[in-house]
Amino acid sequence: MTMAGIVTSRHLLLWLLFGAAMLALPQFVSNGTIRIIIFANFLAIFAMSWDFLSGKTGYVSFGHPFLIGIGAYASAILSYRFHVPLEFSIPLAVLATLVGGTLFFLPALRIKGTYFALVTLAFMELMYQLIQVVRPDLTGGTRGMSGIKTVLTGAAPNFYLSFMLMFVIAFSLWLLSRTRLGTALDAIAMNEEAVSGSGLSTTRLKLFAFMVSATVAGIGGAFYVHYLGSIAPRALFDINFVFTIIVSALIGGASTIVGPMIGAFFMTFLLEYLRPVLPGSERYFVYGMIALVLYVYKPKGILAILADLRDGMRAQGTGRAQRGKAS
Amino acid sequence: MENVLFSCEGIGLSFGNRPVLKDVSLHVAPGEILGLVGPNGAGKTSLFEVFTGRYTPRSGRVCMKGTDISSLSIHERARLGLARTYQSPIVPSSMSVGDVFRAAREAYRPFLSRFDAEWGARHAHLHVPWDRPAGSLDTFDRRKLMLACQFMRAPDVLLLDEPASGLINSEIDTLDIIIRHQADEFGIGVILIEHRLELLTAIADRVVVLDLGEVIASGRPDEVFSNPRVKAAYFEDAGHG
Ligand SMILES: Nc1ncnc2c1ncn2[C@@H]1O[C@H](COP(=O)(O)OP(=O)(O)OP(=O)(O)O)[C@@H](O)[C@H]1O
Ligand SMILES: [Mg+2]
Repeated sequence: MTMAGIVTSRHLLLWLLFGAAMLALPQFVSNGTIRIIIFANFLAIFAMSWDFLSGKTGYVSFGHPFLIGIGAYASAILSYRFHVPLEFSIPLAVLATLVGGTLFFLPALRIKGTYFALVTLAFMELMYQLIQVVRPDLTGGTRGMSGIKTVLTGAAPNFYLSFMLMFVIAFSLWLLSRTRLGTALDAIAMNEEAVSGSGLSTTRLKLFAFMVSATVAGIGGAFYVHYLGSIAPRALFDINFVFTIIVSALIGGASTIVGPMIGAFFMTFLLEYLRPVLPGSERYFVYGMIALVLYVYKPKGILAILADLRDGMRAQGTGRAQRGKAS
Repeated sequence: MENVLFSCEGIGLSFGNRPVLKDVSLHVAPGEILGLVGPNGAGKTSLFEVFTGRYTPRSGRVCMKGTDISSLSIHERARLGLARTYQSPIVPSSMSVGDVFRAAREAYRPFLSRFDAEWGARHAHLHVPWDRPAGSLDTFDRRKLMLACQFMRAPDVLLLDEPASGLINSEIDTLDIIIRHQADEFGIGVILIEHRLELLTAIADRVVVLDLGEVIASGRPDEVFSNPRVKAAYFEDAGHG
């Protein structure tokens, strides 16, 4: 099958429309809403990163903030403490995430299932503790850092930047998932033994998925910290943050790339609209409920619901047409 | 022993302190079809897992084409020409038949061509449109799809885990033809698991009977099935199950 066969002109048109709507958006909505969407863009990046490792391979990471944290802290420290320009600090931070993440996760990829999830969760906790006690003069300790240089200022420019980032990452991941490695990764989630039985080294495949995931997390983390201009360890290494990332990916439709994006927007707006009603962490209870209901009734997520709707409409349309012909 | 393609010697396997396989040895020659029979839970599938490298045995070794492959990983053994199919024909349901073939062709280098896939499909008697989702195929077509994916890599040894389960008689006849053709034409050594004795008389050159993790008999199908020990093991179990 060729790529041209998959990207139909309809798809292309839809994406162009979506892009145009996004470009025009800052003209129509308030800066407050724009800032919410910026967060959604970043959450989508984190969710896609999580999904490329966990959604695809079935190795559920509970420690993604560990990766995001390496990217965010590395770039923040380089630029804030050592006055490294962002053009260098961000790529270096991404590299640091890739190397640091691989060193820690590599042994963990040998263990399966729940244990993998627990170990990654432990990494996140470990990093949270270490950042507070080891060299607080660099990391800012418990209070974090503020006054970090930002890439751009203003809501609209940051909106364009984050949207571009999200879009480029999504497109790259989509291209990757079309390769033979992408197909093999999908197969690992179904039956890892069968994949290795077909002559593929699953350890190398998982490493590949992990490195892609870490790179995306590093990019997201670094750009996020230079958007916020500050870093707060308590918000970053928060189990609720992990939870938001995972539920975004699952709720949207795991292993689909578009799914985690939809999920991230859904979760962000849900969070915002529930804020006045449920100010505290009760919100996460509602998240849990929604995730659970969706998971039981539509394990493939929002994307599957949309596809069902489309098929339903199409079936109705053709039904009507046929009846029209008959009469 | 002359002309051994694949063999295992003294395989012992336990889960915790529960022995599943005890001192199992067997061998298969090129072009030979070896039936592996035994009641439920005898350890047949576990023995396959030892062959492919998923389970690490407590003792014993696995040899193929004259070399000890015991320390090789699953994918290395597959690349050497050890192919297997699974008891339940699970296929990647969201992928089309063509996509499954593409994935199999590109599993490792050298990548195979579309013609290789067509060749595999023909030898597996798989006649379905390639744009059909693999998940919409019936049991036999799924099995054929999995077989075709293995055939196109021209393996040396083929391990088939209950390939006849869930098939009707006419389908089993076709299956026999497909497998026999591979053995006769390409000299593939086949080990075929089946827990119904009578099905093996038609296809197997030789059978090995496993009971509670031990080889209790081996030889020509008719000899083995009249062996009183086999009858006892078998019908006792069948009586319970
Ligand atoms: N991973 C495992 N962990 C623990 N016990 C196992 C495992 N795999 C198999 N067993 C046990 O080993 C024994 C042999 O199982 P196996 O699946 O090899 O039998 P079988 O001969 O293939 O049976 P069947 O005809 O039902 O397929 C069974 O008692 C099973 O419960
Ligand atoms: Mg079995």
